[in-house]
Amino acid sequence: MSYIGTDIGGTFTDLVLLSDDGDIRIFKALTTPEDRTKGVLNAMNLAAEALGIAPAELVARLQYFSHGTTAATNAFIERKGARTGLLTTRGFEDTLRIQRAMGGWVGMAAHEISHFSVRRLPDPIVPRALTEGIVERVDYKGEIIVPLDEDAARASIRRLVAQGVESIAISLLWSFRNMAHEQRLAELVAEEAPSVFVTTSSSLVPIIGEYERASTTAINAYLGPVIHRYINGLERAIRGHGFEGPISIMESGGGVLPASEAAFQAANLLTSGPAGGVLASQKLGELLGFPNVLTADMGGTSFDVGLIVNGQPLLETVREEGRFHVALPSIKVTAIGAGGGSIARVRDGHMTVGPESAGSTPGPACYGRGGVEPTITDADVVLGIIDPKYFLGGKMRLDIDAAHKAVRDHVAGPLGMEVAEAASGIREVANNQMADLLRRVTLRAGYDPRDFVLMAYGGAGATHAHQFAEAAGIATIIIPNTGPAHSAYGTVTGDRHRSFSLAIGQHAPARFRRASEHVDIAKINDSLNGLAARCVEALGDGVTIKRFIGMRFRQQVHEISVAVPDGALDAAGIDALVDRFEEQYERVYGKNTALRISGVEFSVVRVEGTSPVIKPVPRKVDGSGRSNKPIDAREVYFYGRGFLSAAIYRSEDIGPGQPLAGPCIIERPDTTIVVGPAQTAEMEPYGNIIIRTSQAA
Amino acid sequence: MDVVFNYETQDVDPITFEVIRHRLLSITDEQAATLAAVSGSTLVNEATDFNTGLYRAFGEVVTMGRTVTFHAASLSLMVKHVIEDCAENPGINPGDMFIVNHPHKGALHCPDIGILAPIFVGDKRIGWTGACAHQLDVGGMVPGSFASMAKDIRQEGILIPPVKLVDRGELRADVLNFITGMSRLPINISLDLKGLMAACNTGVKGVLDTVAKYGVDTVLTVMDGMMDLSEAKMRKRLHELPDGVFRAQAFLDHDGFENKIYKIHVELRKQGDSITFDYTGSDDQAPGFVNATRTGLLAGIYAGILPLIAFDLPWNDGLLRPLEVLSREGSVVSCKFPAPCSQGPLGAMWLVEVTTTEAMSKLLASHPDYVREAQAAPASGPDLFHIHGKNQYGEPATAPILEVMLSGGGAYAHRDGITVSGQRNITAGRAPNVEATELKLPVLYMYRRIITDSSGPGRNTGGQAAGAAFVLHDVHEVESLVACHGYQSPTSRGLFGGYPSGCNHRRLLRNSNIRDLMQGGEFPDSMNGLVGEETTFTAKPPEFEFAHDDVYECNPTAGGGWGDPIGREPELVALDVTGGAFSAASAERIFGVAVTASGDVDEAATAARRDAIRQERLSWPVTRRLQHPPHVHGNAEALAIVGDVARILKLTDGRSYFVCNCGHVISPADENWKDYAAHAPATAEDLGPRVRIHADLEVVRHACPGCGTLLDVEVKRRGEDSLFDIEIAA
Repeated sequence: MSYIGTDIGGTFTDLVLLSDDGDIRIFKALTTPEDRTKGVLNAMNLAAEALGIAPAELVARLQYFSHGTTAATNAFIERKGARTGLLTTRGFEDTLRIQRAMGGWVGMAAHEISHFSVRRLPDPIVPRALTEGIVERVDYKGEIIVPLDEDAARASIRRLVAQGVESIAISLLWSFRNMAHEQRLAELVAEEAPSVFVTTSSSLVPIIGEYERASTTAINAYLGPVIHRYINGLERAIRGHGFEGPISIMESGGGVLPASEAAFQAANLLTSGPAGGVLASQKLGELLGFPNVLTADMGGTSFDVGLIVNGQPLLETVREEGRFHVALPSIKVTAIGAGGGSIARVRDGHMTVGPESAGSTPGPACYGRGGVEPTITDADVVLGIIDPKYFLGGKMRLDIDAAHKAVRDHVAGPLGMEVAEAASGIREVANNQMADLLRRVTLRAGYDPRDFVLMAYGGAGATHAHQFAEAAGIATIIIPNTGPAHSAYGTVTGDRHRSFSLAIGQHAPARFRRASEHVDIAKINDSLNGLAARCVEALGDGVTIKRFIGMRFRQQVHEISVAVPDGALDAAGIDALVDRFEEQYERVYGKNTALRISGVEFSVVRVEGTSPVIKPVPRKVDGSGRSNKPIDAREVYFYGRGFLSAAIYRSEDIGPGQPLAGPCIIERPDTTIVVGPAQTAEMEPYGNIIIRTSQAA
Repeated sequence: MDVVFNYETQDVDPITFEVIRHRLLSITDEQAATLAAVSGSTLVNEATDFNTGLYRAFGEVVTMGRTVTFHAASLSLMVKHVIEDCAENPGINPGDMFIVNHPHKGALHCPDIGILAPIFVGDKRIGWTGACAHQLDVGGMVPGSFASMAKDIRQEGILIPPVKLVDRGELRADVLNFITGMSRLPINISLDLKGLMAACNTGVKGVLDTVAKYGVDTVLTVMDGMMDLSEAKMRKRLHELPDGVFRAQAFLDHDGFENKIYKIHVELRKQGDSITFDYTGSDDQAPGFVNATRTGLLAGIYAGILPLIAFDLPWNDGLLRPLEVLSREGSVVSCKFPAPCSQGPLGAMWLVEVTTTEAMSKLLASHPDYVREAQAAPASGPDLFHIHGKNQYGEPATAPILEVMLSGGGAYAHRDGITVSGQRNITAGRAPNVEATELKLPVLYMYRRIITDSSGPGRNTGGQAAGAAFVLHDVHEVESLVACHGYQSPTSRGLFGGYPSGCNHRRLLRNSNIRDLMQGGEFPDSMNGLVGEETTFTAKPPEFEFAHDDVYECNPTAGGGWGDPIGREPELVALDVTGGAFSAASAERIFGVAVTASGDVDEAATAARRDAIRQERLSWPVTRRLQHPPHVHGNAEALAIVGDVARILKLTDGRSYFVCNCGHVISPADENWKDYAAHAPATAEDLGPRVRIHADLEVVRHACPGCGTLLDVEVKRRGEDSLFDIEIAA
C-alpha cells in the first residue's frame, strides 16, 4: 500500500510517495496554473512510471491521499475570490475599510512603510456597496441592546442577492459573546438564498476584536466557493481513477482537514505551504530526537523561519495575509525577502542585497533569461559552489559567464574588488541578514537560537545554511532528504487536525486573591467540553485532545496560551492555571514582568484535536554498496578564506555513519549542500545529512 | 583623563560594513521588541508611542526605531543632557543607566520617560543606547498628566532631570521607588521602566557582541561611516533641489485658558547643500499647556522631514547635520521654563511637524524628480479624549479613548490621501477595536464610521477620517477631558489649490432621549433624531462630567487636498459621493460636479457649474498687475517647478517669473505671487460643511488671473499680509 502527499508551489507540483516498507520517493511536475489538478495528475503519472506500473495500478494501491495547495493564497492575493457581501452591525459598516488605521501600511515591506508616498490602501475583499448594516446590537456582556430587525435584514440579504453575491459573510459586534443574531441571519440567508455560501464569525473565529473577526470571516466567505470548486475538481479527478480512501487537505494550523471541510475553512488554507514545511520538520525532528528545531526555508524570493519548541510548532493567533488579517491560530512563519533571486546592488560605494528579487523571470543572470543584475544564485555559481552543469540534477544549464559578468559589472567593478571576493561578499551580506532573522525569531519567542538545531530546506537552504546557521551560533544543521518536497512530505505525514475556540470573557479583578473565586468554573468546563465534543465529531473517537486557555493580565496586551490538564477543572485547577500562566509569561517576556496585581483575564478557550493517520515509518538507508567517495574536487571560494579545494560528493554515493570533513559539497539533484571549512557532515541512518558547525562543543 | 574611546579609523570593506550595519539595525529592532514584550501596555504595543536607538559617545544618532518619529530627537538630546549633568557627579560608568523625563533635558513632555545606558569598551565610552516610552500617568494635578489648567510645568507631573537609576549594574531601588511612587499607576510604570531597562540591556549586549566579533575600531568606523553616508546622501539630495525660501504657517487655537490664536511660522531657507528652519517668526509662548520646548521643536522638525526627504535614506544623525534650527526662547515653539507643556506634543509641536512638512513639501515640489514625495498636510489637530472614573466593573479607570488614531492622510500629486491612515508621526500605529474599548471602558459606541466631507477636497483629495459617537454603559458618570486645536482653525492645509480638511468636531448632547430610545429597543447609529441640550465646546474646555443620559460624538480632522478641486475627474467625484467621501452638496459647490440621485455625473450641469466657478474666480480682484508681462517662449529656461501648477521661468528680459502652467505670467519670482493673483476671501461654508474659522483668522483663495485655476487656499491671521510662501529667484 502507498500514501501520497502533494503540494502545489508556484513553479512545481511536488509529490511524496510513501510505501509500506518505508520507502520515500519524490516526484516533481510543473505546476499548471490554468487547472492545478492537472499538475497533480502529471506528478502521479511520473510516480507510476517510476514504479513501472500503470496510473490505475498506483491508485489501486493507494491508501491515503493528502494535498497542500496555494489555490486559496493565489485567489486571495489576486483578489479572484467569489463576489461576497457582508452583513454587519449598523453603524460599523466601515470596519473593514477603517482596518484599525493599518490600511496604509499593513503587509507592505519595511522600506515601503517608511516611504510614505508609495503607501496605498489594499484592494477590498468586500466593496462598500456590498456591505449592509443590520439593525441589532449586543453589548460586552452578550446582552441584547437592540433586537435583530428581521424584516430589514431580509431586505438587506435580497439587495445583496440582487447584486449577484455568491457568498455572504456575517460578522456582528460582540457575536462571540452571543451568537444568536448571527445564527438567525444565517438562517435568513438560507431561506432567502439557499445557494449562497455563508460564513458566520461566531462559528469560524469567536474571538474579541471586530476588525480581525470581520476580516477573517470575509476572507473565508470570499474564498469558500473558490476552494469548494477546486476541491471538487481535485476529488473528481482522483476518485475518477477509482480511489476510495480518505483525501486530506493541508491547513495552516498544524495538520490536515478532511477534503469535505476545506471550503468551510478556506481562510485556514492560506499559509498551508509554509506550515507544511514546519510540520514535516516537526515529524522529522521527532524521528531523529530533536524536539527544538528552527526551520529555515530558503527559496527563490524569500527566507521563511519557523520555530518548534518541545516538539510543538510555535503558533500565532493573528497574522497578516493579502494586506488584511486572519485571526485563526496558525503555525508561525516569519519571512524576509532573501532568496536565491535576491539582487545585489551598489549605490554610493555601499552594497545591499535584496529585498528586490529577480524571481523566476527573468531570474538570476545565470538562468540566461534576460536577468542582468547579480543575485545570490549568481554568486553561488561564480564561487564554484553550484556546478552550472548540475543545477536541478543537470536539467537546467546555468550560464557561468553571465553570472560572472553580472557580479563584475554591478558589484565588483563599482567596489573595486575581485569578482570572487565580491560574490562571496554578496553571500556574506545575505547570510548575515538571515542569521539576524533567526536570532530575532527565537529571541522574540523568549528563546536562544543556540538551543536549537536548524533544519534547512528549499532550493537554496542547504547551500547557505552552513554560513547563516554558524553566524546565528547554531551547532547542528539538518538537511532533510525530503527537502526538495518538504511541504508535500508535511502533508502526507501530518495528522488530521481541528482547532476550535470560544471566547469566555472571564476575569479575576485587580488585587484578586484567588482567581477561582471570580470566574465561572462551570462555564469554562462546559466550554472546554463543548469544543472537545466538536473535535470528536469532526475527527472520530481516536482523537487526541489538547486543551488551552488564552490568558492575559488586565490592561496588558500579550495573550498566552496555557495548556489545561485533562479532566474537569476545579477551583484548585483554575488557580494552578494562573501560576502556570505567570510562569509562561515570564519565560517569554522576562523575569518579574508578570502583573498579577492588575488582575487576570481568561479570554478564550481553545481545543485542538489530532487524529493520526497511520503511515509507515521511513526506511533506514542501506549504506552497503555506497562508495562514500567524492566524484570530483573543485576550487570553491569561502568568505574570508578564498579558494579552497573541496571534495564533491553525490548524495547517492554516501552512506550513513561516514563522517565527511569540510570543506566539501554534497550534490543532490534538488540542491547543493555546502559543508564549510571548520565543519563536518554525516548521513544519519534515515538518509538525512547532519552538519556540525564550529559552534558545536 | 579622556573618557571617550578614540578609535583608529579602519579600512572597512563594504561587505563587513553592510553586515555590521544590518546587525546594528537588527539590534534596534530587538530593543523595540524587548520593550514591547516587557511593557505589555497598549500605548507601547498598539500606538507604538516609544522609540529605541543606538548612539555614539556624545549622543549622535546611529540608528533609530521607526515608531513614533517625534521621539527620534528626544533620546539623543537626553544623552547630551546626561553627559552635561552627570559626567562629573555622580559619574558615568560601565553598567550605569540614567533616567530622564525633563522636557528641558530632552523629553517632549513629562509622560515621556527615557532610560539611557552608556556603552564602554574597557573604561572608555564608545556610545550609548536608549529607549523611551509614553507613560499613562506620571503624577501631577490631573490623572493622565495632561493638565489643561496647569500654569507651571511643576504642576504637570514629576520632573526627572538626568538621574542615575542603575549604578554599575546595580538597580537603585530607592530611585525607582521614588519615581514610581509619584504615579497614579505605579505598577504599569514599573513594568514600562523595566521594559526600558531591558531594551537598554539588549542594546548594550548587542553592540558589545558585535564589537567582540569585529573589533571596536571596525564597529566604530561603521557607526560613524553610517552617519557620514547619510549626510553625504542628504547633502547630495539638497544640492539637487533649487535654492530658495519656503514659508509655512499654522494657527493653534486655544491655550487652555483663552481661545486665543498662536501662530507657528517657519521660514525654510535652502542654500546649496544645507537648510535652515527658522521658527523665530512664531508667537510668544502661551500661559497654558500647549507649548513646545526646544526639544519639541526639534522633534517636530525631524518628524516633518524624515519621511519626506529621507524616504530612502538611513535615518541617523547624518541626516540632521545639514540642518540648522533657529527659534526664539520664550516662543510657543521654544518655551521657557517653567511654562507648562504637557499637551505640547499634540499642540505646538504637532504644528511644527505640520509646518515643516508643508515648507519641505514646497521645496520638494520645486523639482520634477521629487514632486512625488511632497504631500499636503496630514490630519493636523489630534483631539485628546481622556476619561477618568470607575469602569463597568467598579475598577478605577484612567485612559485615553484612542479614536484620535482614525485620522486621514494628506494628498499627493499622484494619489489621494490614505483614508484612515493613522497619524503621520506614528510610522505603523494601530487603533483599538471598538470591542477592546467597550470591554475596558464603560462606553457603548453608536457608530464608528468614515466621515463624509471630513477631508480636504482637491484634484486629489485628502484621506478621510473615521469618527464615533457613544453613550455610557453600565456606569452613571465619568469625568472627561478633551483638548485639541484645529477646532476653529483649519490646520490640515491643502497644497497647490487643495482645500483644508474639516475641523475637529465634537458634540455633547446632554440629557438626551437616548435612554428612552434604548428602552424601546432602538439604538441610533447617528445623532440624527436625538433630542437633548446641545453643549457649546471650545477647543480646550475644562474637564466635564459625561453623564448617564449624555451622548458624545467626536469626528477628527483629516488630510488636506492637493490641487484645484474642479480639476478632479467628474467620475471620481461621483464615486466620492456614492462612496460617502463627499456629500453631493460639496461635490457641486467645491468640485463643481453635479451628481444625479443614481450616482452618475450630470455632464451638462457639471460643465456649466465648473465654467461658472472659473468665471467667478476670473472676476476676483487682483492687487497688483504686471505692466508689461514678457512673452513666454517654448524654450524658456525653467529654474524650478511649483508643484504641478506653475513654474519659475527665466524669460526674455532676463528676469525670472512665476508662471502658471496655463502660460500666464503671474508675477516676478522675487515678489509675492499672491499679490498678483486673483483672490477672494472664503467663508467656512465655501470650504465645506465641517470647517470653522476663528474670529482672528481669515481664509483667502488665490487663483491664476489668466485661467482661473485655484493655486492656494491660504489660512492667515486676519489683517496680515498673504504669506510669500515660495520664493525661488535666480
